[in-house]
Amino acid sequence: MVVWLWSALLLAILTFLVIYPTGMLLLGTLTDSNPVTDGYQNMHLSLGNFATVLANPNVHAALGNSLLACTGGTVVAVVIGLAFAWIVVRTNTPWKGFIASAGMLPLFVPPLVAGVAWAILGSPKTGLINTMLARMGIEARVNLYSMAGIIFVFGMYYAPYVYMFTAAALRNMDPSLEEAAEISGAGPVRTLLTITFPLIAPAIISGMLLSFVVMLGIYGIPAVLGAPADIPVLTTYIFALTSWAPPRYSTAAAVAMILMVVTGILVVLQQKVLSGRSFTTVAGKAFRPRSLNLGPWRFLTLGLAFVYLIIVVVLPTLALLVAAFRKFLFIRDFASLFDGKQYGLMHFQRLFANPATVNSIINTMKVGVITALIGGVLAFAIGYTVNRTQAPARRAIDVIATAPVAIPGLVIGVAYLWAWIGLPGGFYGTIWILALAFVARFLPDTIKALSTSLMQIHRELEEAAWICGRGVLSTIVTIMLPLARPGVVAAMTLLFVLAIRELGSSLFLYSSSTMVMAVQLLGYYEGGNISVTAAFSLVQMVILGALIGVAHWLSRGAADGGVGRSG
Amino acid sequence: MKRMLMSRRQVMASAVGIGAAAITRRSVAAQPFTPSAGLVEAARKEGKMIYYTASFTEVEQEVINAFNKRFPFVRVEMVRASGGQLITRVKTEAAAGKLVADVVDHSDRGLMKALEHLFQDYAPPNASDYLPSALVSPRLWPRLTPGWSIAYNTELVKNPPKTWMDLTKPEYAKGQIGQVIGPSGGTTWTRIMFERQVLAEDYWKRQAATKPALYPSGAPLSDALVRGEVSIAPLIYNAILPKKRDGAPVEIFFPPEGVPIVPYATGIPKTSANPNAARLFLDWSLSPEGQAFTIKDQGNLTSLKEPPFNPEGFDPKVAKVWVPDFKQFVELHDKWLEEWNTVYGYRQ
Amino acid sequence: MSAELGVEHLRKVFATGKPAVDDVSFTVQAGEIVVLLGPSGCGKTTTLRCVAGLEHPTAGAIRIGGEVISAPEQGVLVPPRRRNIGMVFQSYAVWPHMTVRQNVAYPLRHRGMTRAEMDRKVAEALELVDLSSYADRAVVSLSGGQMQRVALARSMVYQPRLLLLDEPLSNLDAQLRLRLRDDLRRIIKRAGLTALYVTHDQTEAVVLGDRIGVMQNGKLLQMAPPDEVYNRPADLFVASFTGASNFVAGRVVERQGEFGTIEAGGGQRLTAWLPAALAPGAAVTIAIRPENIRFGHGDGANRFAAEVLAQRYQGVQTIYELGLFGARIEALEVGTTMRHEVGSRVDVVLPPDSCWAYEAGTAADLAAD
Repeated sequence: MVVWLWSALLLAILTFLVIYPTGMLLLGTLTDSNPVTDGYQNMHLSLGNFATVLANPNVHAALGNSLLACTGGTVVAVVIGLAFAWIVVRTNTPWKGFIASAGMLPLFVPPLVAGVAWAILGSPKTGLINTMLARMGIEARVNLYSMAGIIFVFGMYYAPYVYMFTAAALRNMDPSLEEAAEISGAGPVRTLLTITFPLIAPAIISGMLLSFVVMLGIYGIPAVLGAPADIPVLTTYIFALTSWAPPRYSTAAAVAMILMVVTGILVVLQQKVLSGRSFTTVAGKAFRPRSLNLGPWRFLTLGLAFVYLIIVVVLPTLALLVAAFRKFLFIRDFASLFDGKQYGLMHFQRLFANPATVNSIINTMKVGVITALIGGVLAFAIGYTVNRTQAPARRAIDVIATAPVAIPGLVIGVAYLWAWIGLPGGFYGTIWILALAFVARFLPDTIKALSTSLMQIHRELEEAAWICGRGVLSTIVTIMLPLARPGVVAAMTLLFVLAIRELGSSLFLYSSSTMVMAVQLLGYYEGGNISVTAAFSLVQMVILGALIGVAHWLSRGAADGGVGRSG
Repeated sequence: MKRMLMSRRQVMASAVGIGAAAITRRSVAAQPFTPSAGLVEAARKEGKMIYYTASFTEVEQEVINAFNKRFPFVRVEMVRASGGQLITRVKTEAAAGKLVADVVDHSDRGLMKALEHLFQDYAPPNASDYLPSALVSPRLWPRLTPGWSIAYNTELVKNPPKTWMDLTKPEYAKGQIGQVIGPSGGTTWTRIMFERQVLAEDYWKRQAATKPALYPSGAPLSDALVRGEVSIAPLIYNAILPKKRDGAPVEIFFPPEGVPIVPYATGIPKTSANPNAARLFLDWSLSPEGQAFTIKDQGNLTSLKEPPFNPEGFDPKVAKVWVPDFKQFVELHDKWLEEWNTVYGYRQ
Repeated sequence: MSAELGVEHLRKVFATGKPAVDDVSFTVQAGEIVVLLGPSGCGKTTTLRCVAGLEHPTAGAIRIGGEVISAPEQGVLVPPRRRNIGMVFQSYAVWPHMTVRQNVAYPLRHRGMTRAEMDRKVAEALELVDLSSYADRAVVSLSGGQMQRVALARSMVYQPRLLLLDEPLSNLDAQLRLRLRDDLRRIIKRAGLTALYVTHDQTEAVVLGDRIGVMQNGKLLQMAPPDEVYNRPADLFVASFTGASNFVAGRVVERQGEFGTIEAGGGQRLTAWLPAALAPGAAVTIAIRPENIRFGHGDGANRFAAEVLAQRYQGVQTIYELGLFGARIEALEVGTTMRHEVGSRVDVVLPPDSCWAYEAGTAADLAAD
């Protein structure tokens, strides 16, 4: 009775947030008209449009490029992420803690910013790296405006996804399994290859699939690096379809469907892998992870870690600094790079002379807060219902709430526009429509982040409160929420960061009074001023850094409370 | 071949005869814009307006700043989107009865003409001063009229091109030239129409043979030119002039074969909630004062019969402006663009 | 205050086929402590959780103090919070974000009592578990044993009708377990609570329980006072689970009242308790505890001579393996000296009261440990 109502309520919310917009998108795929502008009565449902798209050689090219770039990027990400996880969790490399935190930074860099930074560094003609090489008298030149460049930047930036999964698995692995191998006569390398990595294979595979899926949906990096070399991928192709005059939405929707299907298959695969993780030996007990004494080799691992950090953090930041403070990015030679006369605050002045800049920052903060609050509450409600109750339809709720993972942001913006513009009231054009789109889009990420911390709270802690005479709601408020606080704060922070970065779904939903940072950044980029773009990128990075610092500080207080012991 | 070209050029010149003739006159100083007190008062009461534009954020912010210098009491909120996205937004909002724009400003007159029914009757006080060839509807006005030029990086190009035809020379091959893709919008469509109709039927083929680097729109191309990613590029004059003024190592010229110009189509939707502010903004923009600003400060041309100014480096004696025939502008669009995509190997 | 618990024909079937609890019935008198004993997966915890209301039974009725709190056939299901029971969990389940006092006061906070009354009750409960001086500590700073006592105080502070304990000692180290085991019974008895206690540890069950119920495969096999469970096990499983580790195959020769003459391997005959109605000729398994085999001459039945095959010295006791009935039989003798050498022949007495013959069972009936 109450639980039925509750399930129905959650399903209704999810229908509004996920099913209805996705349905509109599907409609768009099956027609050659825009369901809102042309009216439903004029729609001709057929598979014709979809078939045409499937037969289009350009679609094949984009799909092929996407698969190639993401496969290559994933391979690079796995190698780097796994090595990084091993160095941080399993060796006595100095400054591990610092390396671990700094290694996560790429996650917070908007892809467009990463793309711009690497264009400044790795352009074949004007890239800073090539200027540097010329100075050193080295003949070789790098060219990141290429498939190899996209793969390289993908791999570098999405290695943290693989790292997150594998580091956790390595940390939770019973060290006696490896000890047993060594007692049996296997050397450290053989142990690593025959015992450690196979044991955490499910974590490696799911990290791999996740990074593949994320790369598949990224627009910024292939847009900046692929466009000059005319390498379209699915996302940039979709974007191009929507920006041509006249735009080709039904084609874009159909291409998006292809993207969704590919992503969907991978997500299902990933869940299969995760559900079969029983042999990952993640026992309830907390182990002290085994730390390998590398002797003098530990400076090599430290060196490798630093090379990675220099590549993903230091170089791009320097590139953005040069671009943001330098009058023109034309750099004749190495000496002119250090010509002080070329530098100044002009781009920042120009950036802040535009009132839209500050407005977009304020709007973004508002949207971020609203998204984090609504999304946090909804994700908690869903995560709790799915993981902790016997509520009817909780499987369905889980599946629907996970579905948006498979929908690329660029497309979902159109879907939300079509789905929600007709709603009565002043919903369209407000900050709320953006916030709701973000809530829906990032529901899977938020629920995942929250569920992990919910699952860590021993069931009996909650049951004890029921036995003590408390109802479900009272138990959630007095026991679950305080205990899950670090997880809730972390999930809300994640949501906040994702909302601030989000470009795709903002593009169609913002209005004059609700311009957000990501759209404004794209505006500057498309407006052709890479220096102002770089300056704004730096501003965004500083804002994000400050926010993450605050969130870290907020959740620190809760961390010492610990989470319930498990038997 | 050469004869045919000549004759086509003559045809074109006569098609825009009045305009070309007008622009050759000496420019006169712009008279200040004086709106009626009633309109100013009504706009002040509204206090704001929402401005949808397909032009660039920074360019339009300067326009807004200049407008606000005269009329600080109208707060202008801008929505900037690329041509295709802006049209989608306008259509979708209109279909849902939620079109909130007070002014819609677009570079593709063809797409705007198709949406004519969404706009209210409006004409600026100086309506008769405008070139008839730049007008497609009594409701839509050429607020902005950018023109095409060729720019090159002076640090990289020692032997610069002098004409459109020079861009087909093998010495500029292998990605030295940057090009904006044909389907990027009305602006580029105008230029590639000009190339085929005025320069040579096979101009695309010859130009494409130099393997130019393709860019999605003019703004990133102008930036790439400054950075030296490409050495030479046909660019809308207003996209590159500000950079030259800031000291970037570029030089710009208007080629003698002709200067394709792109009259925008700008109108006030019927649903405008702030029609007086919108009218004041457009009246000002279309006045000699407003046009003088876009010419002098931003490097645009104008669709006024008698330009109050000529942009820096534009000598009407050397370069003639070219406006496409609107009927052909609409009819040839899909077919020719498809051909352009094939010739340039661009995927769509 | 404390009330009688009645469980009738309780049945719980999870989604995966076999019932976890299968037609279990028993009563716990007011003030009595009943222990459910059995190997893991036998259904004892599920039974307890059904009583708590944390699992929803498939069939059967549960009453506390005469009030039906669960009867799925009648659609009765009182939620846990309205059952007025206390529960101590295996994982302690003390809330890490609260102090000792906050944990114990938690169940009182919504019962509309005055602050003074609440303070008094919390103080009493902490006094009872000997934690008065720890009231304002954070629970995470306590040891495992102290945490479990916090959990106990929390479950008793509101004088529930019934106290449920789910393997409360299994997460503690051995020494602490022994001490807390004795404390637990004393505390529960002093509070006069009715208690249902679940464990897989036989000694814990014997020390704590007024009665023990042995469960296997979802069935309640026997419920009786500890000495009866130890001396008159209802079946082969109960006998083996409580420690009878010698099994001798045989055949019924004849029956005399409760006892019977059994012919074991090697043609030797012995007298054994024969609870089942088995006809002569029926195959039986005789279970004998190693402690019940006596060395030396004695009178009465079941005297045998056996060879010492091996010995295992354990300090305070020695286990001898004897060749008897054509099998190896273990016998245990208390004392720090080893009296019988390997290879020697010894006389042993198997008191008929301590030889229990059951219908010949399969290996599955025997407790795994």
